[in-house]
Amino acid sequence: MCRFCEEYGNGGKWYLNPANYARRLYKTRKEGEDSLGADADPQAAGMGGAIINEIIRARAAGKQEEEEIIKKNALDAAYQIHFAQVVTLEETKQIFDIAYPIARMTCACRRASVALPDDQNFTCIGIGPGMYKWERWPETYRGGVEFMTPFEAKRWADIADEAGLVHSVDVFGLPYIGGMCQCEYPGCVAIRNRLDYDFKFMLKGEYVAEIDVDKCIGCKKCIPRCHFRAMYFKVFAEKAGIDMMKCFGCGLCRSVCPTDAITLVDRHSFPALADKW
Amino acid sequence: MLPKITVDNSTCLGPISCGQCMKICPMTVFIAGPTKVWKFRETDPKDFRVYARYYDQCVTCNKCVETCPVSAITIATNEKTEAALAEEIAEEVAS
Repeated sequence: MCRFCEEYGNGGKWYLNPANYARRLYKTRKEGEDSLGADADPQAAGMGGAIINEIIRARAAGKQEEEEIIKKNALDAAYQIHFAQVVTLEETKQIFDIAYPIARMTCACRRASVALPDDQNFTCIGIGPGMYKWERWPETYRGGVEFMTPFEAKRWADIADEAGLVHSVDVFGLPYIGGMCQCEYPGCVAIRNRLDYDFKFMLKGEYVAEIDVDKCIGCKKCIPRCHFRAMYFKVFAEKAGIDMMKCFGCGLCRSVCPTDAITLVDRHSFPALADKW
Repeated sequence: MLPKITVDNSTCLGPISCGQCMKICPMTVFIAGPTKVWKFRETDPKDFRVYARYYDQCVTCNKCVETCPVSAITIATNEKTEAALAEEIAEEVAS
């Protein structure tokens, strides 16, 4: 179990605990210096976006130690305020039965990273009372919202899964979960910064994918589904391969396997992977 | 070798109305960034500008320079040390 399950899971997975979807409808204003600066802009602060320029500067300059310090400080704060974790399709649907209201909204990452127009960008799902703010103050929270029933949301999760988008939960003030992203590399800032700069704003899921080599027919359908560079093709064996150290446990490879050769296994059943988040 | 990518925001048509560089870049170096940080509100996408956030991943293929309809992008490869250049780029991004 990850540290968030231990603290906020109430005996289970923390993102399946209904208590973590409840929140008051208003925010208390920050005082003094906290109310100023880039962090006050929900977008500039979002997905660790404000810190990535610093990380790139340190890395480009070859200052490895400085890069590690920047990341550590940023993550200590992020794990209290705003971070993401990969979840499976089944869990995404379970969450849609727990949280209310559910609303489709535009992806702030792809709006910035690939300048996707709002009408093509309704891929994110916001959950909880925060969505009323999006509807009420369109000048503050851009892109608009479309409220959905749990049935519509589950249908949407299926479409996103089929299209090859990774499901994840987003924290907005630990332990409150306010969003469910449907992400991709490189459009998703969290996935990109994790893969390209090892900035662990997005955590791996509670599972890892495992292949039953006897069932794998080597059709290669699963391989391009992986956003995390964990899948490859074993040419001589004519089988798919998964680097389980790199696997985030999203289950996208499993969704397309025609022979059910890929299963998601609890990360903790592998002692060597249990603390690899 | 660290390339220095400059986008002239006075001639650039912007990421929403053009965005050709963002689409053609093989390494997705460019992003659309806010021109100004607003307190407690997200930036209107109309105010986005193109900037080369992931300059350290640039492979200097020059496709963005060639595709830009208003020649707003330049890529300089110079003799400065990587450390000096990274600090210089970071300062410009922050300003």
